Amino acid sequence: MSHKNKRVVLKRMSKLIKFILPIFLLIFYFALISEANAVPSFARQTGMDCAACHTSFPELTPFGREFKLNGYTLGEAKMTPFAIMVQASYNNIAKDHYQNSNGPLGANNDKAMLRQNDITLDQVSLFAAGKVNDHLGAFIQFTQSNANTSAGNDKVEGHSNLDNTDIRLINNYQISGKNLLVGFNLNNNPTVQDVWNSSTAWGFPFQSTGLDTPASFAIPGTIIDGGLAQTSAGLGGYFWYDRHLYGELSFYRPANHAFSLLSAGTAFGDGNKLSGNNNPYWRLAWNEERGPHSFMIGTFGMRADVFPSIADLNTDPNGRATDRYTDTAIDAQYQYISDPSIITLQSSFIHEKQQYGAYTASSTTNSTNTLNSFKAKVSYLYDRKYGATLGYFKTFGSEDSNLYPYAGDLVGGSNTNSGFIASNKPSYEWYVAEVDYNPRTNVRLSMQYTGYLKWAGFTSNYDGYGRNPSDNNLLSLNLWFAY
Amino acid sequence: MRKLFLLFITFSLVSIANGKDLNDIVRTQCSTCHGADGNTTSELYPIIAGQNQEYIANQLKAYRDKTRTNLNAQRFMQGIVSRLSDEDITNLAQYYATLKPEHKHQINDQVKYEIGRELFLKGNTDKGIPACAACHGEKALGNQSIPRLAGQNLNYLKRQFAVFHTNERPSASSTMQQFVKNLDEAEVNALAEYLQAQ
Repeated sequence: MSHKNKRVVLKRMSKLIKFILPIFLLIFYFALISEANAVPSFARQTGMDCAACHTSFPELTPFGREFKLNGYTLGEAKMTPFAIMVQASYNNIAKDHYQNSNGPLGANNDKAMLRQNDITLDQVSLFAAGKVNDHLGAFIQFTQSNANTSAGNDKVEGHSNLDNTDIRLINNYQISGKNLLVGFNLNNNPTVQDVWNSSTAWGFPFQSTGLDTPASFAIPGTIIDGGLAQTSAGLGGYFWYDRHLYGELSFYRPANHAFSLLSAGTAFGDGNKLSGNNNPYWRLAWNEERGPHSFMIGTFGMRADVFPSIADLNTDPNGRATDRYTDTAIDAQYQYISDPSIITLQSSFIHEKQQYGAYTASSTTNSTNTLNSFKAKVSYLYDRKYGATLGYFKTFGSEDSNLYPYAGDLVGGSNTNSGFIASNKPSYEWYVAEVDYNPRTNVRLSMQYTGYLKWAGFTSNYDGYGRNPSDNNLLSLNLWFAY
Repeated sequence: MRKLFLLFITFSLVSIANGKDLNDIVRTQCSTCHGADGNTTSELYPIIAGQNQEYIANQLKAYRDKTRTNLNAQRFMQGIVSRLSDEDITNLAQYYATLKPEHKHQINDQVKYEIGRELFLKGNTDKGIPACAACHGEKALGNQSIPRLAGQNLNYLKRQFAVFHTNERPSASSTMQQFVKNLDEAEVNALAEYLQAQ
């Protein structure tokens, strides 16, 4: 190793230690002063440990699902139902520069990830979460996140917004000796109200960096998978019968006017502003619990009419023509919760039909397309301390040369991809392998590796300059702490 | 959506009037883990259907007073009972004592079962282990403050043997510690096998 390389390594190690040391001191401080039940606001409300509701947060146990469906109303209302959460990560991408025929492009604009081998405080969240009375409860998250926000800038920039929000009103009835729970729900992200982690908002991976990566730029997602997060307001009703049958029907609208608080800090963008008040979301699930085993099979979905361009919404003659996304999903979850072993499996398949209005149709090859997303993961947790998870993901759909013009893309970069080869396909395939260590039930240290097998339909050389899907593989060391 | 919002408000006003009774406590706080009828099949939690009334009440008070401090007591029970009044505890103990326990009567390992039966009914004088049946009864049904063990979950029983080696269940430790200290792992497994099959 050359002197220069040694200096670089030492510098990085020094940075890592400087970053991690105070965090560990903080954790040990809380570990020493805390009682076993001194965890976030729900735990303080119920007096129970995180372990009662979570196998490994945010994944819910059967008790956690009951707690959420019952509107967070178990326990005693607190005057200060607050909690904090910190997420930080250290990230390394396999090949951090794009290159052309002359070799690496070099400038910041052409980096594949702008904080290579560096540490990012991804987000700090403040929660107001708890019971209001025996029938009303809320989960409200306010987040300060750090991410790249402009091209050529390798410094993270802070941004605050109201994050996931879920307010519930519930009541229970006895029908022929069976319990019927009926509830109303107000939220700002379709599926955030769901209690099974096989749906999208609380699905695996539970933590990933907020930094822009090639994947965050390139891989298309269905609209129900975060496409309307914090820009929509949904109000609906649900029932939970005899701990077996769950049904829900909600209607979403843009989170503006009377509902603008639900999008505080989040701007409407292209394709995330709903049109109208009645974009339906549905959920139906069958649940079985037998001793340490619990199993769910279900379906969920929504139909969303969105404006494709915020800039041209009122200026372009076609600007108010909406695109319709109809997502239909099936999902399943299995949990084995015992002592000391916990096993969980989750899987979902989402089929999205995209029907374009005049504005979008003028720039796509097809007037309708489909996009499909498959996810599956299996986790093993030992003694609630040591965990391992393997997830598999696949996205595929219609070919559209105008919608998916290039296989390559730059993170925050100027458009030098004119030489990139055509893609036409939203075909991506990847896996996430993660090992966790939870020294306490409210602290998680994890090492996560995301490996890409297929990128825009290619298994190698997707940009025409030798970049392979595996060059985007990402190694992350993550910290998640909640108090 | 506007109509739904009005319904939301109306529902909130109507529902706030309702109170909380024993059924609410059982449904929201007990049945999720212990089963709708107290006969959970989970290995994490004990069967409490048919458990002796005085024993249940004593344990709930021990959780509430935080004198029972084993890990799962801290994780689950201390918090959940912290808001129970003495009256709630009496009512819950009475309720679960009257429920009928379901017994599997399933022997997983005949050899272990026989060893366990011998130990439970006769003890082992060479090792200074008295017969468990002397206190818990020949049918392991217990009495008043002495717990019923018949038909209890295998892993729950094993975990409690481990807890008795500590001082995390002080009300039981003074008695049980002197008995379990001479039991080896094979004997613990045998006793648990015998008792779960009752």
